[in-house]
Amino acid sequence: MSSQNEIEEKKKKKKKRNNKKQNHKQKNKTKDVEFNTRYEIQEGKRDPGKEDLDYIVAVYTKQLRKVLIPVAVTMLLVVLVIRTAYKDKPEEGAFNDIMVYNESDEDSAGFRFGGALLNAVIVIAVILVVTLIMVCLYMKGFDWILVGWVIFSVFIILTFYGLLTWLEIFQYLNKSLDWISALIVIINFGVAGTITITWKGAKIVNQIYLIIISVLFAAILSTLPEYTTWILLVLLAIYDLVVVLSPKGPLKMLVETAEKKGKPIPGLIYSSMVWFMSKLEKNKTKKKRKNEKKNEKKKTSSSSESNTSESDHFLQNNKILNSNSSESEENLIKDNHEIDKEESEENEKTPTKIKISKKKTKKKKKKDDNSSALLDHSPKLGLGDFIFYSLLISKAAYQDYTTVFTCFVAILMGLSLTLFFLALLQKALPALPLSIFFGIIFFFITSNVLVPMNSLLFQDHVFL
Amino acid sequence: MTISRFLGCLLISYSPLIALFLKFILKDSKLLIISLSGAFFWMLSIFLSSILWFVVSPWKKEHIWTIIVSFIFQEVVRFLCFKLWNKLETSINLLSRINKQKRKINYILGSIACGVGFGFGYVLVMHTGVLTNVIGPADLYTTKCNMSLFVLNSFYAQAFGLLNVIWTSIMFLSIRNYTKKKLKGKPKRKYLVYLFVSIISHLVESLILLVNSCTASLLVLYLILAGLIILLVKLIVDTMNEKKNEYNLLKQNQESSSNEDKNENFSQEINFLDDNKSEENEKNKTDILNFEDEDEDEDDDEDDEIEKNDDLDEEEEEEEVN
Repeated sequence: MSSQNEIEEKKKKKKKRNNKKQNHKQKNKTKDVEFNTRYEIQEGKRDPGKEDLDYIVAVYTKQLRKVLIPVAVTMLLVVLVIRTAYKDKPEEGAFNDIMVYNESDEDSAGFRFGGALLNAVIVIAVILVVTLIMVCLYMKGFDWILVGWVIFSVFIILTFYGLLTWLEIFQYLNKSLDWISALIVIINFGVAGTITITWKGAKIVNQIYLIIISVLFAAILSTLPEYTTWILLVLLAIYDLVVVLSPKGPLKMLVETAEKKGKPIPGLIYSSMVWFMSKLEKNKTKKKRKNEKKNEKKKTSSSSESNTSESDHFLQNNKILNSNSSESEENLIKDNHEIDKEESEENEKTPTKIKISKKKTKKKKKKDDNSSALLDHSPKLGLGDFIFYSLLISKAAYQDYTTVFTCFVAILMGLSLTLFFLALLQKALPALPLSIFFGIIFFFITSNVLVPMNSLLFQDHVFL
Repeated sequence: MTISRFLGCLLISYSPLIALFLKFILKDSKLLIISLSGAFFWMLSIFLSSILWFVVSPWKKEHIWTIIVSFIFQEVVRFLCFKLWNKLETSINLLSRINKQKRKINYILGSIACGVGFGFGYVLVMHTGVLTNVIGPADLYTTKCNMSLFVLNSFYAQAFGLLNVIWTSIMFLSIRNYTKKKLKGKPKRKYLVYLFVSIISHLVESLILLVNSCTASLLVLYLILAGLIILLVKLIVDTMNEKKNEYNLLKQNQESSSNEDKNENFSQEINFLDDNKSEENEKNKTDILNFEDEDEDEDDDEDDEIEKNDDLDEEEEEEEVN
């Protein structure tokens, strides 16, 4: 009897084990399906066609948040700064020395429009020239010039513009400040910023400093006369489209040379991942060996895989998505001392890149890109985009809070749409045009049409 | 209006939306995008109505025509939003069914997210946009309720913010339940009745604010709001019951047919019907409001596996080199 009981117990245990195995197998099946699909896509064996749209959507939604939040934070900070310190200032004509045409209310609208157009066209021509110079320098190996320029410009922005805004805010708050403490604080602030941005630093501190730079810059640019800003934004969006999507643009040459050299492009890029510099060197050597072996293997194997892996259609690692080569209209012709400083500043906030790369592609892909991007598998957005979004918002902040809210929503919507297309197409895409298009439309409709309606309806407590 | 009163007004008008946002929407990033697009589309609708207001000058002081026109535009845009959302959702669910992946979007939560977006856009534009211009030492008084105009308006804005959530969710769920393919039975007409009720309530609510008496406007507003909440709860319960019935019917169909690979077909069908379910949670079928965790957790596990394999490869290569 006892033996029978034992046998029954053993049978029950076997059943339980089998059930567990089946469950485990089913779980692993689902996991394997996921992994295999992603693996096959990465290896170029399979089209990420409609079947894998959900994977793309999932990745896109995860990464969208990391990009949306800093953009939102910069815009809110800019609104704060302008609503407190800059709004009630009389227009001092900060850019009058630099601009070819100085706007004044006395001229007719057509004349102002023409003059503003001239200003904006000159600015963009200068931007073009400067990008070409940058590309030439980079291709001929003069990286050190660009790196030094970046350091210099970042330091100047953080110290001088930081001091300016600080003083404006203290003027608004009616507080006093002595020159000793100001000097100490601002120099430390500037030096810390340059170190974190151009060398090592904690991730959060790096991001905060990049946000601060874009806030300061947008606050300064917001003192431009009205017509020039709008025309400049429109022309910049068009310029961005043309430069990024053209097949023989300077940005693509930059990117290709960067890939060949394996060095990072000197420029200010906002990325949401951590930069482990010490580990990178070790991994670099190992992965170089891996890549060499893989290259040999791939040559012997069928060529179809390599062809498919190079096509833009598939999800690939570190496909750089350029959006903007940001410069400001301060890069204008004359021999002004200020201009020479500011000229350089913008150039180095160069190609704004949106990168999407997957963690799992670490294993199997060629690491031709810059070493810093080896572990950087997150979406990146160049600082030029931050600056011009916040410039638009600053123009809205001068008017009214309703325009601020609507332009805010418009810009974020445009950014999310561009990221969606980026996830679909896996190509270099400009981040500026869509958001600026939406932003400008929303701005003009709210400021001229919606605000009077709202004020009238609010008084009579009517809610639509 | 002092800053303390301003903060009070903000809290009055935003509190239900913020509660919904923090509870349901922050955890899933897809819902964030949906609410953002909801705010975007609401703003488009209000632009259309304001452009009409701007162009047609006799309306500028008679509010009834603007109310009717904006009502039409808002409902049309809500319907367009529903169409867009439906397309997205069906495509994503189909694909995740094919690949047996858990990347679905819960329908009820998605509709609530869209509604929260509409609500946020509404309150931002109609209420806080004007309120921020009035911060200062003075206050405006109405005879309507013997209280400050701004506080009264913030109460109205609170109601309308919640109402937008309810209108969108009722519209989405009722149309979906009416048009969904069923294994058995006809589409029920009660869903159309719900839809009609919600649409009419919008018009009623916005027109009731023109009435001069205080108690009438506030009472009617909040009574209709309460009624609509009950309607929404009823709708949600009905959808859950229908899903249950569909599941049971499918199970019966499966059992009647003789298939060896029952389990696999089962899992496919189950995943198709029940949002965000795995084979483990078959018991908790009625918990439709269980939303999935962020995808990062899944990916981290797989990343760990791959990183282990990475180390193995490196060791192998080192051995080869040596």
